[in-house]
Amino acid sequence: MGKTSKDKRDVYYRQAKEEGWRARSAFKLMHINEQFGILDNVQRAVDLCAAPGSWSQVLSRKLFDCCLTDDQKSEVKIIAVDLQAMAPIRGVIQLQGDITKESTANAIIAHFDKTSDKKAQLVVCDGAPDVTGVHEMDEYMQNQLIVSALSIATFVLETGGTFVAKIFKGNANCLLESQMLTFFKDFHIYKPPSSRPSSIEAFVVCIGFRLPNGYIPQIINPARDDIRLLARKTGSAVNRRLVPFIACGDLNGASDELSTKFEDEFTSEDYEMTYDDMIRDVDFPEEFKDELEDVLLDEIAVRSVENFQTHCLW
Amino acid sequence: MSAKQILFTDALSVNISNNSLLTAVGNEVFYLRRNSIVRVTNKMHYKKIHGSVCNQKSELTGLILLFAENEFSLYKYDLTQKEMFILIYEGETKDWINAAIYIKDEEGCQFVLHMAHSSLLRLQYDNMNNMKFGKCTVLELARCTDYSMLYNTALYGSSYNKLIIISGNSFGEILIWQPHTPVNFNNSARSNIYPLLLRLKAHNGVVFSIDFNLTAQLLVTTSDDRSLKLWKLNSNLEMKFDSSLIKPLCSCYGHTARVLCAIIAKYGDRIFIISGGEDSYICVWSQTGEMIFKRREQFGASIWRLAFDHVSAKLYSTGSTGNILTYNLKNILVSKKNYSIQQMHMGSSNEFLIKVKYLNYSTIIALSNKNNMYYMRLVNSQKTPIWESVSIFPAYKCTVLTVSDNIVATCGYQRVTLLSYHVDTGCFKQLYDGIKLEGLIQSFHFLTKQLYLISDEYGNCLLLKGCNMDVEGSINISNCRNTWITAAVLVKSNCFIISCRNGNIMLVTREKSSHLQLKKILKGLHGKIGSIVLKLLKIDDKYAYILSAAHESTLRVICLNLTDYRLTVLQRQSVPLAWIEAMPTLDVLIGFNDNHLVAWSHKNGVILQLQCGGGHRCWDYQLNNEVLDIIYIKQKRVFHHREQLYNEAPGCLSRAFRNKWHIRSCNIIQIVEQNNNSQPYLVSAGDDNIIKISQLNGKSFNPCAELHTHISTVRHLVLHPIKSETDVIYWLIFSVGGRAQLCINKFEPNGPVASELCSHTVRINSDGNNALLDARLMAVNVLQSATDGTFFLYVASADGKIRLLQWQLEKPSQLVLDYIIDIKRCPLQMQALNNHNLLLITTTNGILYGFENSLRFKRFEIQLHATSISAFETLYDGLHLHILSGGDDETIKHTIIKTTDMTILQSVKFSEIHNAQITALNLHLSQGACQTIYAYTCSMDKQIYKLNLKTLQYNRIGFTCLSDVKGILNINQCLFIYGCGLQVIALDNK
Repeated sequence: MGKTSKDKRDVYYRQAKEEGWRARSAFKLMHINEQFGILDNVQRAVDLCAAPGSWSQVLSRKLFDCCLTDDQKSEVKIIAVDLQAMAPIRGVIQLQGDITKESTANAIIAHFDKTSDKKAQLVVCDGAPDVTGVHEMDEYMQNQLIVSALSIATFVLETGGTFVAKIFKGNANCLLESQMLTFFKDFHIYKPPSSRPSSIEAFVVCIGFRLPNGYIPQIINPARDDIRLLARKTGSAVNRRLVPFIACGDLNGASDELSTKFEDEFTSEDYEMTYDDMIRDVDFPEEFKDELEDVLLDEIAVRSVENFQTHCLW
Repeated sequence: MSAKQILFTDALSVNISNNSLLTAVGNEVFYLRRNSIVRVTNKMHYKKIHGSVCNQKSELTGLILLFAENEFSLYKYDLTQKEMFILIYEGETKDWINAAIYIKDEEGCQFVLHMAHSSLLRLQYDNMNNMKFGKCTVLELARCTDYSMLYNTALYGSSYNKLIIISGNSFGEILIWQPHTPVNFNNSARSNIYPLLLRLKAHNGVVFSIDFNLTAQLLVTTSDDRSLKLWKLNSNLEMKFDSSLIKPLCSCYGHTARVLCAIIAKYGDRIFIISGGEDSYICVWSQTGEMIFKRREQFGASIWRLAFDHVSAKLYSTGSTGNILTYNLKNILVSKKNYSIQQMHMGSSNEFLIKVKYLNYSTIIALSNKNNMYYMRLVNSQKTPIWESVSIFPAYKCTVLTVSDNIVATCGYQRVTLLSYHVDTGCFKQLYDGIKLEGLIQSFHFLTKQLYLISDEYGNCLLLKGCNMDVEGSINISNCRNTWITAAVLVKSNCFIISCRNGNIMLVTREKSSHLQLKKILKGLHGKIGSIVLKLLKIDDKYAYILSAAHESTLRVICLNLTDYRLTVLQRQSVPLAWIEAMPTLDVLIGFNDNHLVAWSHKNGVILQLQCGGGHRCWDYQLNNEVLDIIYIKQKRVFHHREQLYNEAPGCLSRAFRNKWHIRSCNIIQIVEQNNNSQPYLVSAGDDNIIKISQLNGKSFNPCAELHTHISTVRHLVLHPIKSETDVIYWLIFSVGGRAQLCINKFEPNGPVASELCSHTVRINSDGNNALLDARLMAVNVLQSATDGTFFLYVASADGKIRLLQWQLEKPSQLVLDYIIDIKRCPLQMQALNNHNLLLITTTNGILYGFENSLRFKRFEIQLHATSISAFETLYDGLHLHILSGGDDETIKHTIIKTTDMTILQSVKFSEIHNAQITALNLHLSQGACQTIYAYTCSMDKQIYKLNLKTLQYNRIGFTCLSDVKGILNINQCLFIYGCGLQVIALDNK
């Protein structure tokens, strides 16, 4: 990716070479672990966009290699997902797949113990799009990737699980925080010391996964899919409201000029049910309760989408 | 906030239509026509313009569509009106717009926007009532069945259903689809999905650009994999999209980094492909994939876009520092292949030439392997010039052939010969031939027309005068064998400087006649190699400045003190040549890169690259009226190449959009304010390892000097004045950066002259040993002792160590560790306040530390922010110390500290202002009766705010279009914002 020069070879680069890590980014995950203890007692982990595999190496050394017995080792499942293949790592199962596809999520879950219905305790993603050098475009692409990573995490994480992903610090950290808090108890942005101060990268560390009541996991492609259609795909009214928000921070749902062509499939009873579910759910994040409460009550009352004037054309 | 004065950032759009050019730098749009530049007011938008489409209605009127990220705007233009450009519509989309096109054949004013996930928005602009703003109607949202992330899209077509959409994604695939025959056909719907018609694996990495031409049946793609690929496009217009449509023709390799753009250019009836890369080179390729021409065009910055004017053959390129440069390709495009390189035949004998030199602009002199001398007169006739023998030359094996002003000198074993050439008659005359030294003579240098310097393999050296070669003096420069003179320059009539092959620079004087004295030796100026070029730059009563170049990529300037004959190295400059051989003018250097001969200009960058084989060959040049002639020997044959050096297209563009700003992110700017009301200097440094000194001159920005002492990125620098009784004599520049490097340089505003003092690697620990690793230095601060003038340097390194070092101006190469502390976290900002005995340090975990100046005691520690404090400023108002800090936690804090006991009087948090991390702050005290502290702040969200710290009111005063902002300065009622570029915004005088 991009240019390499001897100049870029710093402390961690050399240390990585000495200790046999595939990339210096291994230290970032280790530093995140030092700060948040994300690897403590973890047996099932997923590494998204894994290649060349330095984060998988960390998972392998910290989760697999430290096991004393074969029985313990067999309990550890580390799944590395990437479009491209990489050299094998001890204790890591490789999965070649696209993280924007639901089939990949199913393939990941299939590797865990099906009988006890176990899911992943940790999902990490150090993936970044190929940078262009135009910072705005790179940030945009990274945001797309984050939403994809988050939507696959909603499939594979167990309740209480942890999610770590790379972000490019840019414009929308507040929004990102609200988006993440829809699914997690705690949200942190952390820049490990091994990440160059000059680079705009940082990491989100989200702890305490919980699916909002009524939300059915689904794959979201924010820029591309018709969010309104996508929001209705699962048939869940919660999804209908949350998906546009996860995808583009839109709390109005997807009211746009094109919306008139869709027939509203939800009746006011659907909304009432959703509303009741939400109010009863103690785990539901308070700030969204407020937001959604208004919206749902509106929907119940009006039952029609206003075709209001907006400059957003699609 | 008013109009821009200076904006150096990504220029991402350039567009030619008929006689006009539409281009953009950052968010600023310019329309150029017949040498006049019109700025298209784009007040509301701060997003960088990524592309534009021009729809000309008549010679002077039309519509312009601009797109920036997910926004677009429509302008109506009429060049006959006073207000030429009028905004008539603006809108936004959900996804990143990566291409747009007008569809000419459709009814009304229709255009499409193509977005980064294969979706296409078909829009119609209507303005029924002729209001200022019209309306855009969505006619259709078309999406392709594939939705991979696209980096580039090319659109072609004049009717909607026949639009051809060719995109490239990050997997190196080309995707083709058309908005006709949807897979979910539904008459009532305005949203349809269309099948992907063709998917083709083209590259091994992101596809950065695509261009195609149906009449030429050619498609070109460029990629991350450093190649461009040419494809044959079978263009029967009723296309059937299958693999027979596109056939690979060839891959072109020539760029040394990612190829960011390529266009297909038609000139006359020939088709060319022109590409631009991250390596700052443009390449011109033939339709069969041969490289015709290569040139560095943007001073090292990435080339984003290209446009070609097929009438004038001008090529426009835009780059990441906001340069829009033109180059006229006419000569290259009309000439037949290799026309410029001519072979100069020797005839059929088995004699060949081993040495060639220009005798004057029209005559070449040469020596053959059979020790014969030849010459060739280049006359402007159809007749091919021939080699004629110089019969009076006494054939012997020569080691040296050198020429000056129609005098030819040859040397061999002990022997020297001098011939003169008469230009009018074409006759040679022997001036001298005889034995002069005991060994093989290895060098002959003309100090003047009458004064010569020769040396042999034993280091014996003679100064000779006149045609009779009278010995004026002799000296032995070395006892070792194979040490001879590589370059020599006469400084004054009684002193000259020579460079020896072992790397020593020697100053030789002639006190009395026939006695040469070695006064001074400067060792290892270029390491262990001798200088090839020594050039006297400037001489006055006290000093002489000499430039030296050798077979390496660094030029050096040495200063000779004419009173005590002290030689000091003043400055160095890195140039993109691996090996320098000649310097025809102060602007131009000629040398070699691998197997290329390269001519490089300070002003224009690389201006010639000639593939002639490696550097160890005999070659010579002649520069005459900007025409450079090169002769060289390759495989026993002599070749000639002629090049017009500065082939710029003249016009307003060459002046308006041309700067030499940092080609990578700028990390720090400090100001040198001058007492005598003259314009301030800016000292800036960044990730391009260079410290630049520029002067502001009204609205222009003049580069004055550069310092190339850093081997890695420069993170921070501070200035310290050295004063006389009354005035500042010069400034010291203390700079730190990657690989633990600390550099100290000197800058004299009068001149201006920048010179190097020293460079240190700061890694010493308290136990006297060096740290194992070179941690990057993040910040430096300097205090000077009032008693003995010793400097106290505070240097913060990325591993958390803060060092206090002692340094003296008299002993620049000595650096003594006074004290070291470890704060465990990476420091970001540091400020030493002498009057308050306080050193403030901020870290990546949001802590502000206050230490005593001795570093021995910590005075306080506050957790000011939740995360990194990247922006930090202090101001003492006479009573209290005001600290303004901005963090990655998106908050700004104003903290007031009582300086006597360091108690915190107040700490106000502003968290509602910016919605991204705050990276730039500037504090200033308003003049007048009630002193109020104001602050200007800028963040990654690109907003600029003004804060009143007294009333706690704030308002947004504007935006910057720069990404990755690193700092903000307030100079002469202007805000200077720097980061990925530089933007200057004038403040309103309110």
